[in-house]
Amino acid sequence: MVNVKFFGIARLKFKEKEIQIEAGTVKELCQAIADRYSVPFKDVKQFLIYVNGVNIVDLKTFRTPLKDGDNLMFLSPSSGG
Amino acid sequence: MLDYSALKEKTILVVGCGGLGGYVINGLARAGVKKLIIMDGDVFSVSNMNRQLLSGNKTIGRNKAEVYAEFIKENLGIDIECHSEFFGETNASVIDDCDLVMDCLDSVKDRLLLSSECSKRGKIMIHGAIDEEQGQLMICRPEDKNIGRLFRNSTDFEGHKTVCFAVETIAALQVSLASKVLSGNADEYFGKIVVVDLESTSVLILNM
Repeated sequence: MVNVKFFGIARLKFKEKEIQIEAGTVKELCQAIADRYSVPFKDVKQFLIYVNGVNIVDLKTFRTPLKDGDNLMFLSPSSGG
Repeated sequence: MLDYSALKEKTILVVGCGGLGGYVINGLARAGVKKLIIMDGDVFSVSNMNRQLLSGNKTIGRNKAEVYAEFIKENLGIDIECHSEFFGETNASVIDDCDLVMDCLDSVKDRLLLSSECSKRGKIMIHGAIDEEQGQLMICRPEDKNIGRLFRNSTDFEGHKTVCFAVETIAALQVSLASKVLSGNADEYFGKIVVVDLESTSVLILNM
């Protein structure tokens, strides 16, 4: 199980701050989140995604492997002022 | 050691005089900038009163930029130039007259336009945004593409309420980052996003 924290609009939309979920890669995780909250996969993919504090663009993007205990952040930016 | 003396010689443009903009204007004026240029076409309304600094019974219906300009001139004596209009392509040249731009807007579309114009005109922009108790900040240099990455396919989130203390926090951090940029002490923040979560009372600094 990996730990996922939601930030910004992701948290406001899903109405949860933190969940634990099974996934072997970031792509699988995105699909699991899309299924859990009944949102399109492409919407989840748009979030900024961090694995243990590292942006997935600096890892293997959606092919980044995940292991038990990994900490992920999904951030969708605020736009209010 | 904090050194804000660089602000005394600088002109800062604040685009948006709503929640963030009001506290940013207040913070920069009191920090002692040489000049402020402020811009907003909106007027104060009753719904602003929970979080916008100078919104109140006596300012409802008045243009926000004019109210702030009046207050700053009468009370703090800072040189201030007021534009009672919304930022757009036709008046973007206002950016040319400043040393730094503060993004205090409230929509994705407007923020991307401002960022694009700042890039074209070679100006650094300090992005700040807030929804309810969460927000983020970024220093956007002209060569950075991070604001586009941040907001790719994003839309504005409707139906939320933003609390005053969250607005003040993001605005204070924007002023802090502006001070760092203008005094040459912001290198460690380039290429990063500052994520503020007041629900957990946390601030994270992450690579974009």
